[in-house]
Amino acid sequence: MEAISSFRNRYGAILTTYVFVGCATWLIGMIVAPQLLMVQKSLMYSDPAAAAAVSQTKASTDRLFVEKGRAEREVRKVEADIQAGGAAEADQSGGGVFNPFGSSGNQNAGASVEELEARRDELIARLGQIDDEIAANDSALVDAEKAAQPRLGLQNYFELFSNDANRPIFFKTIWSSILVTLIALIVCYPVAFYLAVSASKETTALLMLGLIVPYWVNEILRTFSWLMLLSSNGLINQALIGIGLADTPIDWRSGNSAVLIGMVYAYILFMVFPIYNTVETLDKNQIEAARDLGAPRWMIHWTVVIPHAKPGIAVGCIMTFMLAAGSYAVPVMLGSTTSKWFTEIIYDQFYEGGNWGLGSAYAFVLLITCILFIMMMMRLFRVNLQDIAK
Amino acid sequence: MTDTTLTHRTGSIPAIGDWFMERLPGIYMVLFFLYMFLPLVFMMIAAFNTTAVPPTALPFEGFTLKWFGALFANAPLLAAIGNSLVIGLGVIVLSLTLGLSGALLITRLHARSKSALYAILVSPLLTPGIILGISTLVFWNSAGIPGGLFVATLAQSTFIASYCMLMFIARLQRFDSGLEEAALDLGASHQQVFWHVTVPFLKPTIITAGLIAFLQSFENFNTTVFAIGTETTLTIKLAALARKTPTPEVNALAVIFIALTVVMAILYEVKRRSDAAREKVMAERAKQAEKEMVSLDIDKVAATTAA
Repeated sequence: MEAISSFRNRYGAILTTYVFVGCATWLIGMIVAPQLLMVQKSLMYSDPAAAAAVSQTKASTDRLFVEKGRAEREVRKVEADIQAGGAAEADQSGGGVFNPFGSSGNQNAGASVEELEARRDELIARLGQIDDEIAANDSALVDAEKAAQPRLGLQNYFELFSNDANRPIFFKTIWSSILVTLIALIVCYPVAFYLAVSASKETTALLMLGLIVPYWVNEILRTFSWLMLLSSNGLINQALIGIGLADTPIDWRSGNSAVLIGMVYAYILFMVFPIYNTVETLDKNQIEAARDLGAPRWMIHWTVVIPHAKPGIAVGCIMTFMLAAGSYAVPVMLGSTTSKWFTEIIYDQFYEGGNWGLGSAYAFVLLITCILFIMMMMRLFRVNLQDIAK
Repeated sequence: MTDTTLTHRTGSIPAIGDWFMERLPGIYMVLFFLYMFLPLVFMMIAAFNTTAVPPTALPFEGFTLKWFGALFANAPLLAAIGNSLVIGLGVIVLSLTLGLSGALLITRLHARSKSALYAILVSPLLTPGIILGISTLVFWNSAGIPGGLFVATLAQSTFIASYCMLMFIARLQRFDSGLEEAALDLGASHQQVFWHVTVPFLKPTIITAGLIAFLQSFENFNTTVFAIGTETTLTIKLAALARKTPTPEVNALAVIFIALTVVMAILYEVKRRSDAAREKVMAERAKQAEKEMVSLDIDKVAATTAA
């Protein structure tokens, strides 16, 4: 409150209103509240068995109502026959209409009035039964619906760890994302170092411009370029067969290899830029001095450059891991049914399976994983959030 | 200076070893750039190849432009581009508005809660995109609004506003708040100060941030795919097309995209250089002015002491 009033004295009522309303809308309405609602949704568990019981009971009631309608129609018909006293029409009464007691009676061309009356009594008794069954179903439905009602619980989270199909995919996603991060780090560190230290200013400007282009090219298109290269008659298979390394085209997409290759390519530049930015601020004389004192190359990197580049390395790793673990574009395009990614499982919960509670729980597990990874990197590299946001 | 140990180790052919070690970084960079660009180049070549399905760069069977024609005749794809544009414009407005409010509050608030506020407003950048899409979808769905263009716009703005905010903060940190004070002292109203002092100073950032917000929105996939419901955008359509039945139309679109990106990157670089040059001139002028003021002071002091 104090902040608001001092802000208003300085900037006037309208501007103050804009700033505070804008921030509140963004902070509460777009960041905090949606996340909380997602977590709340993830804690609402509905028993799939109870849900199945509900739909079963409903279907059974529907069937009973159909049967009831048919029986009532037949009763009217039989009564009309009795009124007419004729037996000739009776043989048509059963044709095509539902008959719960077989064909006896109706098919008899010369059915007597007594027989018709017996038939009517039978039907009326059955109608009573049907009414009882419907009533029983209705009360069962109330119970089943109560049981199927989503209730607060951690079952959605337990589900992930007891589900033998999804749990391995979750861990695979984590390990693969770490692998992608490591590969990107190893490939990018020399690039960032070269750009920041070895190359002349003009060369660096030109090369950076060259890197901005693929960086801004759509993720889908970057992935599509590898989809073309890795397809069964793509250039990579053409080349491998051409130089005799393979006899038949390799099916990259059936395993995880295509997804991993695509991810490294799609997210590698998120590693280059942060590392470049930190190495660039290093005083080049330090490298010079270390070299003059006879430090071998690896030692210069290990004791001078890398300690200085820590925040950049941390940011690069965090971004790459986060993008890889949360990627839906790359696995959905380069993967196959045998190489599912955790995000695809989440998508199925929202758009294929329809269990949003489970989907929310999976999503929250992914979020927690990323937060844990960020905290781990911050601890490991001793950097704080302010450094990261730079 | 050079690695003497290595020269010894390579023994009889030190010259080649030296030559190789010296060129190694350069060779590595060439390989890296080939790795970055070759897939894109092959993708672009396939857009001009007459081979239809699947699109491929080699063998190149003949030059054609028909895929571009097919692209512009593809009505669903054009409709998807329309949706992307609508979302993009919404994201520009929303992200600039929210980002600026966040930046103003953070740079001008003198309170302890500042760093917490900063952490929360930056957090969407460190959140996987799909989580933002899901949480926004769940939130608006509970209010009875299903996924669609509106929800996608909000979901994207959640993190794009953070980008805008960071850019505004960087600009505001170089802002001399004395200018605002001076205008207020001279009798300007708060609104006048904002529109005639603050906004003109922020204008370059408003333009770049708006451009970046639009680009981010236009090519977003991971957030949008969850928030969009049954609607479609260009990236959604593109992913479906590329995955199921890729035709060289996708490649033709890629050519257009990459060409636009290259043009924009060059424009950005030109602008950056001219800005840097202008700033340099300004800085020199400021230094010059300061020097003159100091010498004036000295003259004054000299005059008074003389008197």
